[in-house]
Amino acid sequence: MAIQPINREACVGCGLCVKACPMDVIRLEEGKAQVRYGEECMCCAACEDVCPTGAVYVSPDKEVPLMVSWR
Amino acid sequence: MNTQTLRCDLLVAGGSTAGCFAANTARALGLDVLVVDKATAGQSGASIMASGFWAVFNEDWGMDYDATLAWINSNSSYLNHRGWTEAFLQDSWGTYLDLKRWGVQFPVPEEQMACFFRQSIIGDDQAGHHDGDPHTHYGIVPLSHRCVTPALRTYGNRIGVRFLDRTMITDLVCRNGVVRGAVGFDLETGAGVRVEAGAVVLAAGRNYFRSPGMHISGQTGDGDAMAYRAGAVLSGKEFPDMHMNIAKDPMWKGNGEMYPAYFRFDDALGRAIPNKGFDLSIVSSVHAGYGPVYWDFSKCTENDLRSIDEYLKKRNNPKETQRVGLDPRRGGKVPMIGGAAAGGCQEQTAGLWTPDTDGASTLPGLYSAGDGCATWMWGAIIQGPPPGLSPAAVSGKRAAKAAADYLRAAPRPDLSEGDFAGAESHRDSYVRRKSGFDPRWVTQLLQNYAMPYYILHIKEEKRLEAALTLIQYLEEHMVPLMRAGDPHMLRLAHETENMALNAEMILRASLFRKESRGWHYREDYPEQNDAEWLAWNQIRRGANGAMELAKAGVPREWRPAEGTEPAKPWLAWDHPHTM
Repeated sequence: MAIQPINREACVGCGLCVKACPMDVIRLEEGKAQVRYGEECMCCAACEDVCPTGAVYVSPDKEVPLMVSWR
Repeated sequence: MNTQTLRCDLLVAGGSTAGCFAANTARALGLDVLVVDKATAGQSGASIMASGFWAVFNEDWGMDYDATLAWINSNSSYLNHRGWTEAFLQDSWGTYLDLKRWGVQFPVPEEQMACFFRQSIIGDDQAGHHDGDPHTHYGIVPLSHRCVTPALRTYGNRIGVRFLDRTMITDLVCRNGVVRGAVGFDLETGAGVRVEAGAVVLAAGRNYFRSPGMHISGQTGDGDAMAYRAGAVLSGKEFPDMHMNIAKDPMWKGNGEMYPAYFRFDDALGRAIPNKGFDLSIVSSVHAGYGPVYWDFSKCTENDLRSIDEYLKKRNNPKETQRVGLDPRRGGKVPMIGGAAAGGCQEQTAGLWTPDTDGASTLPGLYSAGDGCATWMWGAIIQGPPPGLSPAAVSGKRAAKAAADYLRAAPRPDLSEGDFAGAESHRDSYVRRKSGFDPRWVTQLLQNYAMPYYILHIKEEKRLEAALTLIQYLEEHMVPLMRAGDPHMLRLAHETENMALNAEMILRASLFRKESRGWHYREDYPEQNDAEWLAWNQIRRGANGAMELAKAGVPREWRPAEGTEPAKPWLAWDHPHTM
């Protein structure tokens, strides 16, 4: 759904995806990029485009939260 | 909250096309420039999604200044600010030369650019799509996907522009009514940031409602909201941006920006929707009960397919269409959904009011550039090819030069600790709360109230008032009670607050303009009314805190000749009025 879990083995922790994301979806944790706030992914695939090792993939498919009475 | 304080001559809030042009221009004039972006300057803003067009006026390309100006005046229904229209005509070619100097790569050699759009992109489908032949009035420098702003940043780095990324500016700081800086916070650590500046250029982009289909979720009208709260006058907001996207995978921008190359849409009964009215024709078809709408590739001729191929080759982003299986050569009809730009406004019809064509707002020390600058250079509607990014460059450069002149001439009051207090209190309001509403849910409410086409696009007083009642409740009750447990959620909270404020502006502006013109269509006022509404609205915060609207008439010398027939609204079919 939208940005997929980042491939930890392929990720080299360069941080380019963190910088490329306009929505602050990705953070570096323990030296590797992690999808931290996937709800904000807008499927622009800028992260996938800049990743030098192919560790990032963005699916066009995105789930959105249910409409509920309060949250 | 830990706080760092930065000082500069010029603060540029927003690092996309307008912001980078302002920054690079100001730096070349000798200013110490700081660009602050809530993402990464050069990789943010609507430009990362766009980057397809750079409109230019160039007499060497066979264009005539007076003819082009007259054409824009007429086709914009005379609501264009003629000074800004002429600013585009005079300055746009220079902005292209800046791109070349600053290292941008182009997909087409310069000697082919003058004819590229007309000869390569426009196919057989475009008959009747444009009035007159717009492609002789201004030209399009073609651009590839995401090729502009990274180069602008690289050049800025080289000449000594300072950049502060992943820092959200939330509030302007003023002293004695003069804008002297801003406050914000670091998205990684949450640490506070103060910027003391001689002047500020707001280049924070447009407002949208995180609508699906374009990569604009970060464009939440932050600059407009900050300026409004600081006391600046804004203008516009009632001319909606529409846009569609493919219904399958609507978050993905799967249309490849192909509309300029192929614009044939059918209703559910298989009838071709007249494309003269662009998206308003399509929305009116849906409103009449003839949806859904389909992008009809079954009627593609070889010429159409050739123009699509040329367009996609220029755009150079194959995953955009391939990943969702969009292949015009397969023919068929692709279902569409509406509102890919919901919450947005037509280019240059919303933002800070800057009547003197130098980007100066109504607040001393505050300038505006890009999508957040209501230049009105295209009036109510653009009828030619999309101008793309060049208007942002035009206003960015002008704002930088005006700010530089201001800094040379005007004494600036020093800021005291007390000047920051109010701004920082607002900035921190959501983190002080240990309970409250999830900003994501509040955004969802706003989307449900304000995004339906029968609020934003096919307008009517009772529906607008109903939406405004709910949006005001959101602003008064839900927004103040949002919680933010970390810097990411703090960003979301401020963005939600800003979107709600912009929604109120859109609804009030739509109620205010009691006529139909361009893409502002009122079912209850379906005719164009030049006598009362050849005017630009002015939005400001009143003394009692309530939003107030007034209007500034288009100057007499810019009005159409007596007896000029007003334009008709661009609806595909008449449909019954329902109240």
